[in-house]
Amino acid sequence: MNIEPTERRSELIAANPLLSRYSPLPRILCFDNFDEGVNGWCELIGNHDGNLDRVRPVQGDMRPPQLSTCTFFDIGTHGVVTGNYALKLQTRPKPGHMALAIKRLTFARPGIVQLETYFTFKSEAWHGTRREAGSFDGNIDPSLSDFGDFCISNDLSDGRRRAHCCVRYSNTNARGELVQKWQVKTSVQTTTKMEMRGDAPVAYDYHVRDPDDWVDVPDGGQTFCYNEIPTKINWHYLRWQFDTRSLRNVVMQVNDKVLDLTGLDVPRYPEGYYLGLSNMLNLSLDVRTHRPVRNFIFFDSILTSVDW
Amino acid sequence: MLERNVEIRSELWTEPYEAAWAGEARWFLNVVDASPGTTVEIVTFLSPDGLCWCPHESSRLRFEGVGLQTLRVPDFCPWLRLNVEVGGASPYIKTIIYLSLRQ
Repeated sequence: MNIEPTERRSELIAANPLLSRYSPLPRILCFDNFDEGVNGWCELIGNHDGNLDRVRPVQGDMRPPQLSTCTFFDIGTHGVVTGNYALKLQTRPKPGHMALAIKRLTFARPGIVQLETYFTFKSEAWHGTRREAGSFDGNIDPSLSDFGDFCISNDLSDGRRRAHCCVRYSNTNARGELVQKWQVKTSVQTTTKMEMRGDAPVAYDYHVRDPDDWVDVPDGGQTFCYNEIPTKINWHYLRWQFDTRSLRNVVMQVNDKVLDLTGLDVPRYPEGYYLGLSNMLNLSLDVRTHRPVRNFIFFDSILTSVDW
Repeated sequence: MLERNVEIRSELWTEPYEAAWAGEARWFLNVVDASPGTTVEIVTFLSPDGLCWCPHESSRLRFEGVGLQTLRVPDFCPWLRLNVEVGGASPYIKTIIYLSLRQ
C-alpha cells in the first residue's frame, strides 16, 4: 500500500508540534523521541564467535549511547529542543577514538529513505584555566578545534548487493586543523570477513580501507553555530536522503545548506560476497575525536521516513 | 556495557555516564580472569557536571576471584562512573563492566 501525501495528512503533521518541524516523506517509519528512551539506537560491535577478545579493535569500543539532559558545569541543565533528553554519543578522550550508534531495520520495498534530526555537537568543557592559556579572545574559543568529525551513514543490502552510504562532516582534520567541510568516502568499509581472509589490512578508520579514502563534496564547506564556548548548544536541522535501489546518497541538508549527492559514487562490495543480509536497512550515527578530549554529538529527536 | 574484557593491573575509571533519567542503578562486574590472590575494590563516584567527581557515601564493594559481582547505587544523580582498584602480590583481572539503569 502506498500512502499519498494528502492535504489532510500535511495538515495533521503541521498541527503536531513534535512533527511540524520535520518534512517527512509519505510514510513515517519511526519517530525517535529520546524522552521515551534510546528507541533502538545501540552500540555497534564487530562480529565475533562468543569470544569478545576476537572483536576487531576498530569495532570493539564504540561506546553505549546515553540519554542526556545536556548539563554543563557553568549553568546546570541546558536541555534540548523539546522535552528533557537527547541521545548523546560520547568518545573517549583518546585521539582517533570513535563512538557509533546503530539502528537496525529492514526495508519492505526499495526506495528513498530520509533521516531528519535536530542535532548539536561539542567537545568536552574543562573546569579552570585551559591548557593553552591566553588563547581565549572572548569570541571564538579554541575548544572549537577540539571537535573532530561526525558521520551519518547506513549499511544497505538487498541480499545480492551491499554498500554503505556515508556522509562525514569534518570539523577538523587528523592534525586538528579546522577544515569544516562535508566529505564522502571512496572505498568500502573493511569488514570482519575481509580482515579475517586477509583481503584488507587492519582498519583504523571504521568507514574506509585507508584513512585518506575521502573526497570533498563539491561546494561542501559549511560552518555551524558553535556559539563560542563548549557549554552553549544550538540545535541544527539535518536532512539526509539515500536510495536503496541505487545504493547511493541523494541529498544532505543542514539548515540552509543543501548538497546534491546523486553524482557522487558510493563504493560497493563484490556481488554475492555477503549472505544473510536481505533487505538490510541499518542507520548509523558516529562522532570521532582527533585530540585527547571527549567529543559529543547530541540528537534531540530523529524522524525516519520513506517513499514506499 | 561500559567495559568489554578490560584488563586491570592497578586501577581503572569507567567513562562518565549520564543517568539523570534513572531511578535505580546497579553495577555488574563479570570477572572472567584473575591472578591468584588479587583483591578488587570498586567504588561508585558521582558528579553534578561530568567533570568533578566525589565518592558515593555507601556504594562500594571488595571481593576476590572470578565470577559475577554486583553493587547497588542508591540515591544518585546525574553522572556515574566506577573506580576499580586491584591489589595483591601480582594484581590482575580481566572483566566486563555493566551499568544497569531503570526508571
